[in-house]
Amino acid sequence: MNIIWRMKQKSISVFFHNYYGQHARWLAFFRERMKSPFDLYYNIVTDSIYNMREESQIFFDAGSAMEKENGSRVIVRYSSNKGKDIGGKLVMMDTCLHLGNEPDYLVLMHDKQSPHKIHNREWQQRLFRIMEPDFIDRALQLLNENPQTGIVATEDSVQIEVNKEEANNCLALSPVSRLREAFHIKKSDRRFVAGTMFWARSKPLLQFFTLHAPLDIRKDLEAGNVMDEKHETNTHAWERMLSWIITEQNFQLKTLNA
Amino acid sequence: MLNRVFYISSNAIQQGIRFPAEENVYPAVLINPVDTIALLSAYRFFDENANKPMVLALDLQEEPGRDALRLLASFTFLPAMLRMEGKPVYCLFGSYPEVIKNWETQLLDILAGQGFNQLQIFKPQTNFTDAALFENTSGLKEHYRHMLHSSEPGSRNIFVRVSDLNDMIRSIEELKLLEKEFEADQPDLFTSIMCAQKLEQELKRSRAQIDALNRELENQKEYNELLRSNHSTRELQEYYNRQYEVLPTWFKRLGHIVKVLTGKRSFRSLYRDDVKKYKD
Repeated sequence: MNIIWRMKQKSISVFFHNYYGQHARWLAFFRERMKSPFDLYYNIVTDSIYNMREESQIFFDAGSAMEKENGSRVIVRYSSNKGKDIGGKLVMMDTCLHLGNEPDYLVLMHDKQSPHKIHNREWQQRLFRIMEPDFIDRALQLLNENPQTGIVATEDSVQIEVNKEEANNCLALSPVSRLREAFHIKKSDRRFVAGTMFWARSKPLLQFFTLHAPLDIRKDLEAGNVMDEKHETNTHAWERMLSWIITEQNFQLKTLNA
Repeated sequence: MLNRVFYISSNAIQQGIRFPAEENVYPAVLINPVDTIALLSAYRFFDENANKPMVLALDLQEEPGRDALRLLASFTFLPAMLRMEGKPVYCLFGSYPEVIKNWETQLLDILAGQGFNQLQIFKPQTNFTDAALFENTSGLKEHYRHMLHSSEPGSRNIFVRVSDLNDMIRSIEELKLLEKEFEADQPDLFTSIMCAQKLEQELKRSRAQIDALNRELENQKEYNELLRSNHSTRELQEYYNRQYEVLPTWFKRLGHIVKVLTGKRSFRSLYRDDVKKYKD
């Protein structure tokens, strides 16, 4: 019975990008929330002041314990601060491809804080709802039962990207439009998951990044503390692209109220 | 160990490395990066041994290829890759200086694109003092003894080729023994070298911390600036400016008369400042 259950179970990989440290807390968080075996890709920005302490033992201990517990794995990477969480997620995608792993589902997450926003706490809490037990069950149900579901996100994290050239009657292409053109994103649906925290079917993402090397994309992302308050950035354009890569391949973006 | 010793082996993965517990001793895996299958298996080997620092040594005989360079960039994110002062360490070998130079240039370029602006690249050679290369362990013992009694007994980088990993274990024991003899012979000097190395490490750590703190301070300034510029009082001020301040003076004055006529302002307050303007 147990074997049949394991066979039916889909494989899940969590991509988690860490800038603000507190690794023991995050490892405990994922162990508590994920009830079935999973691979935890954990990217650490090493030049962040919050990650100056040598803590590799924590990962070794947690990895061993998780493997013993249910076969879950922890795969750590050390990165520079380039492209913020998007850059980190590309490093983890690169890792996943080189290790030859092909999970069924992916969960994209990072330790978002947005200290420049007045309502940063509420925004953070809203995004982290994708790891609430009830949300996990419903997201898995959606992905399992409907093969066309590509993304599952919280209702209030989905935004619509305005076509700036059309809105401003402008001829110069924005980074978003340049990327849409370069990577042949044709669909008019401009909805995307703001904050880039969502559940996804991994097939369309793996297919795309097999053709377009993640580190080639990361190369063009901005370094350091990238913000799009004053001008548009490649990093924020890729925040949108990560949703559109999936929807372009005829998979749907579904939302759940959390 | 007082010096950094790198043991280079081309068949380390096949033989299985016995990782030395000794500080400052590192196994270096020698790979021809053009052999992408070997490079990928080295990547997976580094991944599986995440908590054991190793060095990637590249045997460069042909011109650089794009796939190999891409995969080398991926190595840089591996926790097992040795970092010195935060800089990923690569070790380059080859018969043609021009080929090595091309690889080095392109490696620096591709890694700068990934945010690694500084690398620690060693190009060991037999006649170098700062990155001395030994073709086997037999000559190393005598050289190490001399070095310990020279004016610079510590903090050097030594590279040794080993064909069999048992050679590495044997060699480490020999070098440890030499250091023990040196410690017994000159205990004050030995302790001073150890202290100097520890202090140097602390200094480098502190410098890295200061750099990171300065970056964070700049980030926080930027956040504060943004928070202030988006503050709700600023929104109110802008609303007031747009709705009221732009009106002509005669219109504003007429407005005050309307207020008096509708009983919202006292008549006397129109020409005297010392009376109450508005009803509570």
